[in-house]
Amino acid sequence: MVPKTTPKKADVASSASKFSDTISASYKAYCKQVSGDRQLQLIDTFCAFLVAVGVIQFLFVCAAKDSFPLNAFLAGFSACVGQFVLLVSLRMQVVNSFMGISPQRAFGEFVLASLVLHFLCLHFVN
Amino acid sequence: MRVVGVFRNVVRTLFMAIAVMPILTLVEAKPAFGSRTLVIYDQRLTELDSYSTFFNSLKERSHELTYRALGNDSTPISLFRGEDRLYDNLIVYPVRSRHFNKQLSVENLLDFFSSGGQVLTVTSPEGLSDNIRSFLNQLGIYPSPRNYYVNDYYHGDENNTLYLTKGKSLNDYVVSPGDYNLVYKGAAALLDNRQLIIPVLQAPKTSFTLDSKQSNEEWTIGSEGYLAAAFQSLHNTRLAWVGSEVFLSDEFSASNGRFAEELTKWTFGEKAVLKSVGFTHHHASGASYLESPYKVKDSIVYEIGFSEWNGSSWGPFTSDDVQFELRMIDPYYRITLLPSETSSDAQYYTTGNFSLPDHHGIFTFLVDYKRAGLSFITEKDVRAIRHLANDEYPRSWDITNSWVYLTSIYSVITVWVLFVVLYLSLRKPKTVETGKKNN
Amino acid sequence: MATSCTQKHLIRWIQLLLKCTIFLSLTAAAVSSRLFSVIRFESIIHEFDPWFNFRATKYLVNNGFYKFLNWFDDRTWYPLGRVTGGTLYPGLMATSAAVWHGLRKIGLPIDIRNVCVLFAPAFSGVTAWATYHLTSEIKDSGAGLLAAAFIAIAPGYISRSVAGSYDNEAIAITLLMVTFMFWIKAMKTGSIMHSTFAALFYFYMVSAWGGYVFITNLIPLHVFILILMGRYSTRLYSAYSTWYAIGTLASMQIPFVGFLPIRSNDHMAALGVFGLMQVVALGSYVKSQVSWQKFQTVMVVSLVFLLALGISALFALTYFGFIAPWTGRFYSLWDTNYAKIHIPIIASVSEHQPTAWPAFFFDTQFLIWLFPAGVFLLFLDLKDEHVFVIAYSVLCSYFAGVMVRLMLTLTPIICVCAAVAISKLFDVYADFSYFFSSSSAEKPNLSKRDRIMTLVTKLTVCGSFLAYLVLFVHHCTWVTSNAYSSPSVVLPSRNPDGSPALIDDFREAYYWLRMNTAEDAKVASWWDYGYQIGGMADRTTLVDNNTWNNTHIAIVGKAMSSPQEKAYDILKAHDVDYVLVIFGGLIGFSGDDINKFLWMVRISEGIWPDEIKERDYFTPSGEYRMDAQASQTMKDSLLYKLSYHRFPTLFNGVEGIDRLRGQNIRQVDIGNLDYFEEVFTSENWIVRLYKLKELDAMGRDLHTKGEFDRGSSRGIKKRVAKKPLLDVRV
Repeated sequence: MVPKTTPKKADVASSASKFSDTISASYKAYCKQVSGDRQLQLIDTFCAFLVAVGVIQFLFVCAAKDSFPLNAFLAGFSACVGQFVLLVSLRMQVVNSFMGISPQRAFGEFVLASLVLHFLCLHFVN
Repeated sequence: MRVVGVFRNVVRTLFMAIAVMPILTLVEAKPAFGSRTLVIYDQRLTELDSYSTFFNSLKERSHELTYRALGNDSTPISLFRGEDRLYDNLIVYPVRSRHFNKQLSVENLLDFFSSGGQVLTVTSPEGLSDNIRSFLNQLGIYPSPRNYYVNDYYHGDENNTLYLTKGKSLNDYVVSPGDYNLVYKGAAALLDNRQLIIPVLQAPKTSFTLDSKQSNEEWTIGSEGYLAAAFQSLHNTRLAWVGSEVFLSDEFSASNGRFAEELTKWTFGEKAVLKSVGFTHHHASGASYLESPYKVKDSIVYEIGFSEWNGSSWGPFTSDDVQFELRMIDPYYRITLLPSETSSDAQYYTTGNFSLPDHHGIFTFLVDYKRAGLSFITEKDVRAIRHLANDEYPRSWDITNSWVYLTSIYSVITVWVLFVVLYLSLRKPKTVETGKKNN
Repeated sequence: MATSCTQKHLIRWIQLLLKCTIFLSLTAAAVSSRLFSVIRFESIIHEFDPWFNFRATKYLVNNGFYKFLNWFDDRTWYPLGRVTGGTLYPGLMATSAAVWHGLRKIGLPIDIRNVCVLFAPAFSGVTAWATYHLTSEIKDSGAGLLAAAFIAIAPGYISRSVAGSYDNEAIAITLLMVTFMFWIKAMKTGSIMHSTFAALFYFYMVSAWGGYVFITNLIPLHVFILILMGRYSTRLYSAYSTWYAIGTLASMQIPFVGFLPIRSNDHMAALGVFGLMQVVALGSYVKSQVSWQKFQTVMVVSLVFLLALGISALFALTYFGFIAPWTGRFYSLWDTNYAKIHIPIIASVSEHQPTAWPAFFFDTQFLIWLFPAGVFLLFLDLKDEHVFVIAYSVLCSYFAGVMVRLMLTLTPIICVCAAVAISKLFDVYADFSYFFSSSSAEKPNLSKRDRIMTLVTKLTVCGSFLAYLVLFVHHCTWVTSNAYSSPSVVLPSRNPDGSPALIDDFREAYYWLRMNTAEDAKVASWWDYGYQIGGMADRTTLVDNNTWNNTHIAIVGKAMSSPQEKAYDILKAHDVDYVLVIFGGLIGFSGDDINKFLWMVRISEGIWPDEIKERDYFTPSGEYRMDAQASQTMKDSLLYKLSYHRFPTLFNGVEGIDRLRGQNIRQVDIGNLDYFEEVFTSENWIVRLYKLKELDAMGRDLHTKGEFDRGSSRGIKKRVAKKPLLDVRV
């Protein structure tokens, strides 16, 4: 009946608006966080690059309908994913350093882990 | 009278010798595996003189004949000294003596035969001793018992004699093909369906074997009976059985002579004897298995050489149906070998280049040549065919698909190096304002 | 003040000294309690599986790593061969070879056999050290020392790491503890380095043991529980994501594992939690920027969407075959009857049977009742690392109850929890500082009676727990000495006059086989003995303990269950030369082939249900008997004939008494053996070797030949010739 539908519509409308509000608010906060800090910008560009490369590889597999050689695909894809994850961990430590780990040490660990990751990827791709 | 008889014998022998000589002088035959021959006969049944043609032809073929007459004594006949055979060939004529069973047991006969001694047994309805009969039964030849004669109203006479005008040999290697006029008087045998038995002379369709003394069931009817049969064991030892002693006698040597001679030549290893001179297999490039073990899909060549005994020496054996098998429980490949080169003593066959199956495992390289009448040849070699090692797969830069991934990995690495350099140059700690929650 | 500084220094030095002494004595205890069998018998590899590992290690040491990695073993699983390089876990062998090479470099050339035999005790010391560090992270170093002490001598761990038990578990438990130690460290600090180490040791663990799946599921489970508890933090993100990314990539480098981490359902939990972690990270970032209400809708919507997407993706991928469904072994963990019906091979292994209650006490004594106490005490604290221990305990307790073999993975966490419990207890009751404090300001006002009561209570409790600990040590030593130190290749027994005797039949038979048969002879036996035949007798076997090919095992089972003629044909087609049978009827050895016979029948029935039926091997009333009442199929089967051949000749020639089954075996039931001939029987008739007879040169089938030989030896003369019944000659 008429009275029942209108509140629902209102609910949906409000939740939709809440959703878009949230998204826009978080985007604004993000811009603010990144604007001053060159380090964070650098990290974020690298992350975006990695996402792009990963998506390209995935699309290639879908387009070619053939994941041969699977080990190469996995190596390439995990290089992107792994590096991305390491970058995000580093970013978190840059924003708010963990207890007992200085930013320099964090970066050093990041380099070490990245080297291990690269070695594994190269070994995997044969 | 006696002089006339002897004179007649001599003339007959001379005549036989002249008639047969052309055949004899062409081929100087001798057995491939040994020529010590023992002839066992029962004095009461057999007159050695009536087989002179036969024995002379044996002597011409370099047999060293030893005669052993059986009579009333029962000294055992020893065919062995310890582990070694004393004779290579054995001819047993029909024997009626009761003592023979104790003199030569069935086990001794079987041992002699399985250790490589060739045997020619002639039995007749009057002389079929139990040990010979058991021995033949173990091989699958069942000659009719005592007093059973094979008769045929269409091809024989009332004297239990058969006259075969178009006698054919059932196996070309044992007796060469052709029409023979044969005279036969004796027993017929039943044969079981073992593949090692080679029937030689079949009884006519209209024949039957009956007991001449009592009325009993027939032993054979028609062509289920055989008048001469041969046997070759898996170790290539040969045996022949003929159910009539007159088949080999001088009396009928005009008609039976050639047939009998070829049969005995086959039995004593003077014809249709094959051997392999060895096999090799290696990579198509020439590398042997020891240098580089085979792996899946390698290109391999297999070669084998066959020899045939041509009466005096080994010569090449040519045939178009020698097959090579690559087996793992069941054959994966079966390749007919093609003749490649011929040497003075062997014909070599080759498979040509063939590539091993895609499946790793332990395979047998097998040539199993078994033709009825020829010696059996089996050559086996068991080899492991391995899988591809980890570095025998195509490398990543050889696969076009993987270039995408390679480039992505290398790009990630280079950008990472750039990133590290840039990051270190930007080492400016910055305090970040904690985001306000009142947005 | 200066004095308190130096005092603190002194205390620290004393603590360090005490710790070192304790560690040294722990290692000594751990190593020495595992040496019983070496002292009593000799330095020999035990059981079955270690023989294969030993053979593989010898091959590695002799031929180098490249050849080992690409090893095509043509002496097992004839004629299929086995690509051993790609179907084993190389961690154990590689470590032993490294140890061997290392010792040679420093001038101690120890024989590889001794390296392998003493490998497990050596690594048990490392396990104690790793457990110490793990427990120190959980509680403190006091608890760590206790846990190290417990794991050093707990029978549950000793059972698989005794000297001579050269099996994957020897190194796997060590690596398990080390990986967990690094994981806890990583999770507490968020350090990428610790995560990387955790991932690298996880890789090492993957290379060493198939039970690595346990870690693959436990760590994600831990993370998942923490997220559900609302304890997400950036440290957790950093630790888990690094561990997953590097660890999974590294684990795929092992040839045996290959693409399993993305293909099998066992590994999907880790991948799912990884994805969830990314989502939660994003969500928490958004949450920190906006108000709670706005965030709530976003969270609900995205959660529902993601959950639906995840589950449908999982099902779709499994349905289309990209991801392998749960394996049979995994099913059998949840449904204990599954394996018996569907996969008889898994069910037939005695280690896969459910655990009996006494086994828990036998393996851990008083730790088993401290274990729940420890878990409860951790609940009271409930920091992040305590959640890990709780998850580990609960999950592992279930699995240890399902399979005896998994008791081994439960033992470390029992030690940790029990150590925590005792440590907390001692924290309270062993605290005598009250009595030693000098300043009166620290002493609260207590009456003299209270002081004495506190002292008495504390002393009683401490004393009783010390007594428990002493009993524990006593129990562990006794259990190790009596139950877990048997090499099972050599059996101890007693002579009639009571003096100890050794039953060395196995080695006698394998050595005979090694010395008296052709180098390329093929031996058919039941799969239990395959590794030992390959290791000790060095002969090609048809099936062995790897059990990777069920059909091949079923072929051997069919040969053992069929009558002589059929068995001969089957074995001849596989080029078998010898058949090996284990028979325990003379001496009462209960692990013999007749007792395992029903498994042979069941496994071959799984492949040929028309030819082999298990029912046929029982008596009409359903009993499993070997004497006159046995069914005819049973009496005709090859295993019956091979086991009992010539057995009644030890008694009166007509009937023999099978001591193991308590039944009388008649000669007339055993019949004649025409197709096989006996070549060797060991001293106590435990191992019997038979050779396949050659095909008869005269083309007779061997049964006819056998009848003829028997007839002629009896001297029966057939005078009458009967017309034979023959097949028509074609």
